[in-house]
Amino acid sequence: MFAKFKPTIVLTSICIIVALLLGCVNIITAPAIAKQEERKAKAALYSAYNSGNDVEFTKLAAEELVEYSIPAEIKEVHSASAGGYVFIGVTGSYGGDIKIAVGVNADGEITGVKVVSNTDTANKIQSVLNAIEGNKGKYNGQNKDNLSPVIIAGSTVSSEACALIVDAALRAFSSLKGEDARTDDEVFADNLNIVLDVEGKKFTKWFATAIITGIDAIYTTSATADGIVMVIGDKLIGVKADGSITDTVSKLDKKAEKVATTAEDIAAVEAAYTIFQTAATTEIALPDGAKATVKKAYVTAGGTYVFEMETTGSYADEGEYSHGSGKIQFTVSIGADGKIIDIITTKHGESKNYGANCATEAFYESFRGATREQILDLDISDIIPNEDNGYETDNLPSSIQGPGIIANATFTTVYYHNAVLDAFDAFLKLTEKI
Amino acid sequence: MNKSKLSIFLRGIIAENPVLILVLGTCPAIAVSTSIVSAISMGLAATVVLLGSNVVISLLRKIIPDTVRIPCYIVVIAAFVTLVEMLLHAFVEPIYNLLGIWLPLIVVNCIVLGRAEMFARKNNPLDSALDGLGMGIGFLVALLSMAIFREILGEGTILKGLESFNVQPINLLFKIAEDGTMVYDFRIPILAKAPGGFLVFGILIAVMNKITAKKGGVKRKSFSCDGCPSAHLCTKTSCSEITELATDAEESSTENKEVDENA
Repeated sequence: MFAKFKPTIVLTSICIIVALLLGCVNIITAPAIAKQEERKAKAALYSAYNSGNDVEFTKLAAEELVEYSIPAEIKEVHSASAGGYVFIGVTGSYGGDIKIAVGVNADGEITGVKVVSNTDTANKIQSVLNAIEGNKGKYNGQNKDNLSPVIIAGSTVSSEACALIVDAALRAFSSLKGEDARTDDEVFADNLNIVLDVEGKKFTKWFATAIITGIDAIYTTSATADGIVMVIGDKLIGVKADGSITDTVSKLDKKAEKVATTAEDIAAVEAAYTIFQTAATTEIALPDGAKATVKKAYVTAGGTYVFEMETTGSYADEGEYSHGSGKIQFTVSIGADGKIIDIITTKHGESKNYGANCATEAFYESFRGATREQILDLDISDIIPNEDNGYETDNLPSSIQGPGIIANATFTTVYYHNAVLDAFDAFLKLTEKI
Repeated sequence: MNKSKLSIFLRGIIAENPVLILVLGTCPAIAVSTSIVSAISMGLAATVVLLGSNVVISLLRKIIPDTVRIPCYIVVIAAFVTLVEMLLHAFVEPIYNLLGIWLPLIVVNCIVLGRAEMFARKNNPLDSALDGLGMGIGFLVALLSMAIFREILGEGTILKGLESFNVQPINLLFKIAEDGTMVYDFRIPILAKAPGGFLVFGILIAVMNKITAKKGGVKRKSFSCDGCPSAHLCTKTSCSEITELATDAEESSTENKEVDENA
């Protein structure tokens, strides 16, 4: 009996004894290692603040970070006795999280940047470190007014991660100084809530604003009870659920001061609201033979068809540096005349400066009014994105111009176009034209 | 220490050098031999692991059943590697950082498991300790030999890796002026890269073969099929291969000694 279990007993015993011995060694070495980590962290502070050891740092408590609305990327703030701060930020980079220390002096200028830890590929991060660390770091001396991101070719993701933390550090500094450090997007998002007297609501742009004249955009939440916000120029005017029109708030006014809405604007909003209400959509069954990219279909009283789409692929899903962020989702409306009324990308994970242009106003504008034939004429549906044509920039021939062409994003362009053609097919089936 | 004990120790340094004769542990050898400091550090770390694991495995050789011997050896080896890693991290952090991933990879170094399997499990603890020490020093000697060439000729420096101890490397083959321009540069950069590592490795193997050939070649011993991973495929009953040259040289050497003594 013992012989049968001897191997198991011996192996288990050896493992237990080894674990106990290593545990004992750990008790001896753990304090020394902890001291070293503390020393390294301090060294990072001095390196980022670019000072001698005569400066002392005091770490701000977590509650203070909340009180001063410090950006979420900033995990630690150390106040320097000589004035200024060192901000420790963490964000995702190429190989995982990257931790960066940014020193800012009392005048709001960056004194230094130090990458504390990272898991990026060594040769990729090294070129970024060479550019931003040390006395000659490219961020040194910059402030929030003249901040210029340092992007190193071949290490774009690592560079952008560092730029994000540097920007967050400067915004955190502004917050600590009592200034409004919100980005324009954050101010806009807050003002959408303020104009409707709601809080913490997420607004999305209504996809079919183009069917309404006189209004630049309409923003809605997921709850109709919140109301909607109309944008005329840089003015935000709300319409509550009961139809009442609110005061006006300027789009990017950090103080969000409300002023009385002019009669002219009230008239424009009322007219737009009437059309908005009649543009309410009813979900309908997908036609037989609808492609897999067509997820949902709606129709309005005016005969406009609205399709919620998801592409069959994307650069984020398949490209050389794919990170599995999924396919592109968008909503497209096609009028009774067979032309695209509006289009809006609701979700994507494409690369910044490349495929991410599929979520810009210029991209949407290029599609507005386009017909199925115009898109077919581009003749790009047969291009299959692959490692030969999809990984490098400007793979689409520059002679191809037209709706939704993103010059340096073959994957995004082709998948998007194929999905738009599928929407047209569904439209034709629903209107019994095929 | 009698001759047989001494020969066990010395064997691992020249005649059966693990890197240059047995061609084991090649990966860390080429990766770590870009600087003399890292070569010595790696050699010493591997020696400690070899010594410790050989002794423990030899002590436990009659207890560990054959069916689980490899997992047991791995656990013991990993324990020593972890021990070395923790101690270096706590007390000599610059060396810990210098060795990086290669330190924990000592666990899968063929030399360590190979000596445990081929020697420690069949011999007493003292002999196993001598074997571990000899193999470890042989590993260090091989790494150091490569590093001397690669750092001096490839990087053009000496003592690279001691910056954390406030010891700056000495530039031997290049000089940079104060304004940043290169005054002279006689480095052979490829030697600092992987292809150069293989080149130096090959040259040292050739030199070692020449040295050992003068002494009659490497005596190959026969060993049983136990533990051979190819045993189930092989049609031979044993794997012995004794070179006639080695045998003749040994007999001739023994006869000469007898003649001298008689004279």
